[in-house]
Amino acid sequence: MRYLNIFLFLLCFLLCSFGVSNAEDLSTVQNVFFKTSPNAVAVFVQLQGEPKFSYFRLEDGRIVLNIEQSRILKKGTIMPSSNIVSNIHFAQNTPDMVRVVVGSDVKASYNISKVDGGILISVGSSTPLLSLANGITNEAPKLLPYNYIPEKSQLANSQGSQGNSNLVPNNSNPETSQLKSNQSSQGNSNIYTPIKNAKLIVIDPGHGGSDPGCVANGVEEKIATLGVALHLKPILEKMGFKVIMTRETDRDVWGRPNMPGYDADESELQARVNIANENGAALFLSIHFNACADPSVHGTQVYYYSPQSYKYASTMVNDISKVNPVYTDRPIRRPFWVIKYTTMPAILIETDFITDPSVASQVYNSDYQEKMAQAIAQGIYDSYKEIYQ
Amino acid sequence: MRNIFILVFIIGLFFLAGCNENLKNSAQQNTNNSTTTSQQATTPVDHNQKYEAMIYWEQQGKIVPVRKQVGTISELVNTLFRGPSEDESKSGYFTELPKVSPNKVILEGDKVLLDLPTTFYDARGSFRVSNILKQIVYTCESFPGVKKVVFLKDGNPISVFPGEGFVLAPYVDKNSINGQKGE
Repeated sequence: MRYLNIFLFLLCFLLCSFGVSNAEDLSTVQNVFFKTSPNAVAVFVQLQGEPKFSYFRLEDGRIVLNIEQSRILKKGTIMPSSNIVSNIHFAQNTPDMVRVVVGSDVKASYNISKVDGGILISVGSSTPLLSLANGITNEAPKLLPYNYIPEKSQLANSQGSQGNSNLVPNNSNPETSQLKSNQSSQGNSNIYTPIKNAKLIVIDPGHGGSDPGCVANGVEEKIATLGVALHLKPILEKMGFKVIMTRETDRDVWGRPNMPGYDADESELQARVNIANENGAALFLSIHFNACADPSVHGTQVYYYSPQSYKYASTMVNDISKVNPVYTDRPIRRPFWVIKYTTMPAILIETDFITDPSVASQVYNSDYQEKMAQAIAQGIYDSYKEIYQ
Repeated sequence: MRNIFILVFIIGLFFLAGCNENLKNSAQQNTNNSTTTSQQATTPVDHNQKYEAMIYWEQQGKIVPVRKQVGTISELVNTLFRGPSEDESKSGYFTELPKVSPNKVILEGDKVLLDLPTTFYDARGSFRVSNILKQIVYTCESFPGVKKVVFLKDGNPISVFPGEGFVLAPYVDKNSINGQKGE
């Protein structure tokens, strides 16, 4: 009997010590920093402990770094506004693995190396960007953590402290205390007072990559939505907003493989929702173009889902109606995924019907895109002031 | 020695508890199966009887009904998917439905299970997709006893219409088209 007791005691001891030793092996991802140069981006994953990692690259250019036996203090997303790197996501992928995904141009070379204090991902270079990395590691202790949900007005400050002027919203010039919108060609004389410490706006150009959206009269919806969104972003930035776009090129926002727990279609939509929710956006806007079997139908429609979005949708209808006919002169309630599952006021704009040949002939035109972008920006500006100020 | 017996006794209890759980699961499974079987019993249809129903077309962007006499829900849905007749087209009726044929139309209680091919879900545009769903759901709900439509893609459940992302799960009815479900 005594031997049995001793055996059970030893078994328990072995199991416990195995668990403890496993816990001790975990490394901790403390933060992720980045620095850009004209042709390269260095991403420094700051780690405590000995990292065990592997990496691969997806067909669309995304670089995936898996740090095994690791935990992350706080997941996050960085949008470096670089031509080479579109975004950097870092999160706990499984209970014992942290994943860092760097969205990069598929043609850009890259290198991943272990360096002092962490792992260095160099994009735009096949060798480690040590000089750029030295800058990061030297500055790291002084830098503010790049939190997933930026505090009010803290985002711009923390970005400024990282020495990346690309990320500072274009509202710091005192001469632009009153900016006139560049709608003079449209005869619109809107005067914007830049919003101080404005929150984040997420713009979602509908469809993209494998999903062309509506295709009619030689126009692909995904190209037209991106065109309007790319005109909209700088206007909003001049107004003082921080802006994140769910995509800035013709690509899937999520791609393959599917997001855990979601099928391919859901992954694509949920990825857009996650960008808005996880970055703490103040307003969300999904831009689309519409279709109808009757080619004479034209005009803008604005959709909302949650009651908190009604005012935003209503203001948008009003502002767009000044430059474009509206098909429906009030917001329409529909359960579209991206406006149903976002947590902030969210709308989906159907800019116009590309099945109307006279509309389709304009939507790739830069002047048309600028005109619509100006009206949408005005709608966001007015809604923001109504909701948050 | 006595401790060993106690240990064996406890293990035995755990074993019996596990068997009991299996029995419970098995019983539960049987219950579920019987429920499924009863749900699969379709509403009895008299094939000689004709029902008054509506087919919904689109006219100047609005969804408008046209009265039809049909024998079954399948006949009604297939007529909808064939599109407006020549006369109806001349009268200005359109359909937003893609040119596909349903794989299956099954009436289960107050639900129509509508199995459609993958290409059906290629349609894009919020207006178009909303009107597609309105045409289908309003038409089905005009058939006696039908209150909701469950969409399937090649036999598999589908939760969202791709692209704009109209949420389809768990079913679509007039209220959910207007985003009023759960209010």
